[in-house]
Amino acid sequence: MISLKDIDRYYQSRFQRTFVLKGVDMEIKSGEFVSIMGPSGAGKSTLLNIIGMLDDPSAGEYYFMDNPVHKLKDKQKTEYHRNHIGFIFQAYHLIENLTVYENIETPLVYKGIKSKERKAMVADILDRFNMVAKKDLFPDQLSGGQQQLVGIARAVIANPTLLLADEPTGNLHSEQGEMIMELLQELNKEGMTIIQVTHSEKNAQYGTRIVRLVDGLVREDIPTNAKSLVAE
Amino acid sequence: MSFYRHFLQFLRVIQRRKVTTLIAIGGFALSLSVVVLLTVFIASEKSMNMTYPNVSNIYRVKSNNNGVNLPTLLADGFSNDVPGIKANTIFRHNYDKVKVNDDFINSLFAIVDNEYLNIFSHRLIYSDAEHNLDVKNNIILTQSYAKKLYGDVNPVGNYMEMRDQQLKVVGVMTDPPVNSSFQFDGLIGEVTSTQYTQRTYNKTTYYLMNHFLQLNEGANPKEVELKLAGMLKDKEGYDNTILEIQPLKEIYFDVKAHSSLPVANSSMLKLLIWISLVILLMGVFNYVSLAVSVNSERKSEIAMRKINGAGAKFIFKQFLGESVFVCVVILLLATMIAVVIAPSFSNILGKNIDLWLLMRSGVSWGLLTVLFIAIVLLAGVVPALIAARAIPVIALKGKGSKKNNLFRQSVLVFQLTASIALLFCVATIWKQIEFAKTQDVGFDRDLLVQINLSYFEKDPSALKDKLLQISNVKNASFTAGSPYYICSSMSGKVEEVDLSDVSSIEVDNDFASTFDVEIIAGRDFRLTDKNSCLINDKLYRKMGWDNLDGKEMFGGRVVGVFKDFHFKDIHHDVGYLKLNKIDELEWVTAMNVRLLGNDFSNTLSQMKNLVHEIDPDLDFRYQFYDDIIAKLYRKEEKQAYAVGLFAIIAILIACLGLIGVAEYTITQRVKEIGIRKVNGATVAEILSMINGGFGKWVLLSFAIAAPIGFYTMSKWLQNFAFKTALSWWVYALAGIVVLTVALITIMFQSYKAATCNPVETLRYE
Ligand SMILES: Nc1ncnc2c1ncn2[C@@H]1O[C@H](COP(=O)(O)OP(=O)(O)O)[C@@H](O)[C@H]1O
Ligand SMILES: [Mg+2]
Repeated sequence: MISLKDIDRYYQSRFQRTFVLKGVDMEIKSGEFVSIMGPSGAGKSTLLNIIGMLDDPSAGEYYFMDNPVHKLKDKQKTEYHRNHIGFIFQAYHLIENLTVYENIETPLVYKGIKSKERKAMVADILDRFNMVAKKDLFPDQLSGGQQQLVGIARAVIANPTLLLADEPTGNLHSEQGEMIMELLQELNKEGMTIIQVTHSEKNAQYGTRIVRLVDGLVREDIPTNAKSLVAE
Repeated sequence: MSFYRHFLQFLRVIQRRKVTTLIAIGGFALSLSVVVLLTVFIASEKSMNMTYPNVSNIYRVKSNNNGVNLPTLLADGFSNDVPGIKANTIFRHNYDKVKVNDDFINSLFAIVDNEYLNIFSHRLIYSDAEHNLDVKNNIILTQSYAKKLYGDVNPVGNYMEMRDQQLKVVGVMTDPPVNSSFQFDGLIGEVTSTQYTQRTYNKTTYYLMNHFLQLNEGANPKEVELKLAGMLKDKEGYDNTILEIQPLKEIYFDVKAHSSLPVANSSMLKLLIWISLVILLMGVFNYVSLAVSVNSERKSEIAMRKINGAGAKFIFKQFLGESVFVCVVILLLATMIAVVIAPSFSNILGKNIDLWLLMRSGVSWGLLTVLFIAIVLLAGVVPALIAARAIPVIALKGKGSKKNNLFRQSVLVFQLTASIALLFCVATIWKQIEFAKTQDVGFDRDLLVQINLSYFEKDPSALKDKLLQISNVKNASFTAGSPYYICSSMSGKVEEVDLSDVSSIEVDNDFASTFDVEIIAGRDFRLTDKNSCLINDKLYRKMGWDNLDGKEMFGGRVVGVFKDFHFKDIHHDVGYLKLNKIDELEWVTAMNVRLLGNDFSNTLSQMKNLVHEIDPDLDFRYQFYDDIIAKLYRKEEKQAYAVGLFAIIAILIACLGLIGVAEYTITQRVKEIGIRKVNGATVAEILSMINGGFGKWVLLSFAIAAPIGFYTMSKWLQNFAFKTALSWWVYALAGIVVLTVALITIMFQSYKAATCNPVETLRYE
């Protein structure tokens, strides 16, 4: 589903070029649950953003469902955002002036889904996430865990094939974090491909595969149940 | 996405930023309303006299030294000798009283001839068969004046009494256009007026009038001008006079002409155009600066919408839609403000600003549309484009870039600079007016009063003796013309010296003693002097004389020289002045009286009784010289009021901008303030830190405003021959006022920030 070939990402300042990612090769199949780990500043978010087409690699090739992303126009990328990719962020990034309901509904609106159908879909997911009572509240009236739930609901409502999560539990208590991770695992079991960035070994264990990134280089790429050689 | 949903969501954005929104919209609307009013004002000034159908063919005759009151005998020459002239007419205002049904009504008539109605395209609503103004004692009334006098009935055939004459109403005409220099209640033919007005003008036998020509379609005005240039040269007192013609559309802006018609100062208009531009920019910048900062707060929203599949087009549409909505609100608000402040505006500018007239004309709708599109482009498309272009990854990272801060601060400095500069201008204009009103004019103006005798019917000789018997009258002088009201001037050669524009006043032998003017050579008039004159020092020096033995000037013997005094407003330098001894008091226009003590109201009523003993019909009008002098600067006073109003509006907008910036800056620094307080900073220290930050901007603005203000006011003062100094303390005052207002404005916000509990603020994440 995802194929990265010799991806570089660097920032060019006036005097020097700083590499954030260097020669990243990676294949991710449909239905996998990949955890990206590594120290702060290793380039994890950058990699995730490239996969999510929010950022462009400086060099290399990227194929998403066999389409060359490095050749796509903005418009086509928007199409992928509408139909195939969902995002979750550490800082939730809910739209402050929209209610819970409206936040969740946003992707459906852009997808052009009819109002009636939207209503049913949002109602379903609110029900599933146990948030029906909160649907008319604004983000700043919710706890962190609840906000992240809304974030996930928004990310998955359009039923994307790929869900990208950048430290989704970074701002949460462990209890709330666990709940989120279980939810992700459940979604994965239903067939959604998930890539998450995480600092926690425990959270990484929810996935099927762990990629360790250090200084922009892939140091290790192993299944979850294998023994890591680099983790402390 | 449905419009309605979006609209509701946008309302929430606004609701979250009530202060910011109010400031942005209010400031913009305020500035826009001022600009709309100023535009209407400027447009209506520019269109003065333009509604006359023949406007492009009508010209005023003017002499090369700006005289427009010229002998009536010219008129015969125009039609006979100059090809290209289709018709000509005369015009002069004449205030008088008429008696209708035993009521006296003060009225403003125009003395014209029968051609006036044709040239200025007036229609007669009622008229008798002849309705000829060239027939003695005929009068034509304007529609509104006729209505005031006679109601709605046709008044033709009625008689009204004026100075023992029975005037016959022969017609009712359409009112002069509102936007016209020529305003009057009725028209009297020259033949009717001559008997009693002629004597009140120049002693020479010339009867002076404004002359207007209507040229043939396609006639070359330059050729006409050449033909009539020398027509006055052979007349006494007009040796060096060359005649010119000037288009009707220019006469309203001719400040130099010695005319009783209203004039506008075109440099004032220019100043107002600049001011309105500055105020518009202040409002726009205010708005854009706040819109950009709001949008930068909404960066994460934009990013999230994009990540959720909104393309650039969606985002652009959303933000543009919001802008259009805001612009509509701004325009509505601006219209409301304009309607509310229009009356006070009209007051200050001395002109009725008719907004409805604007609304009814097609041009202004066009203008309004253009304005609307410009606003939407400027205030809407720019932020919308920035929003649409935003790249999500970058948007999700930091908050508020440095560039935004720079823009915000530039806007603030611009607004403060404009405020300080405008304030400085008002203060300087005010200072100059005070200077003009209080400066030493060279004669003693204290308790000197002038009584108007222009319409005094009887022989005034008897008046003087009786007047001097009133206990509080020190002395008195009768004059024809007076300082600040020069009725005649001459040009010509005297002993091979070319003299141009020698002003003259006819005076009796008590002038120097009454006005307290010093004779510095020769002697003062004697009662018995005939055909003699006094000249001022300036004229004496111009002649290069060193004694007065046998010296003559324009047919009068020069008996003495007096010290220069001001007899024109200080726009003009002190000119040449000649005082002619009056031979017969019959010609006088004014009685100048020096009062003693301070019970003037009693003294004045004694004088009034005295005057009415001799001429019971005279409208007793008096003016102290202090007031006469103050009145000369009415126009400048109006300018000062207008600029003052704009300065206040500018400061208001600047304050709004300031509140916006303060809100933003303080929110950004809330954490810093918290940390400082935890580390032991006192409230006072925090306050001085915040205020010092804003004080810095005021200081910078002050530095920029100073040279701008200095330049503008130096230019403005060039209109005056005598000027006040541009003092540093006026700058300082403007700066201090703005600084104070600025600090008071942000006091509430900075105090709130300085006193808030650090535990609260540090919890923000
Ligand atoms: N716009 C930028 N310009 C220069 N360097 C950047 C920029 N954005 C990110 N970086 C650098 O890229 C590196 C990787 O960032 P990131 O992918 O966010 O790391 P992380 O693994 O913590 O998510 C960091 O060292 C960061 O400083
Ligand atoms: Mg990161």
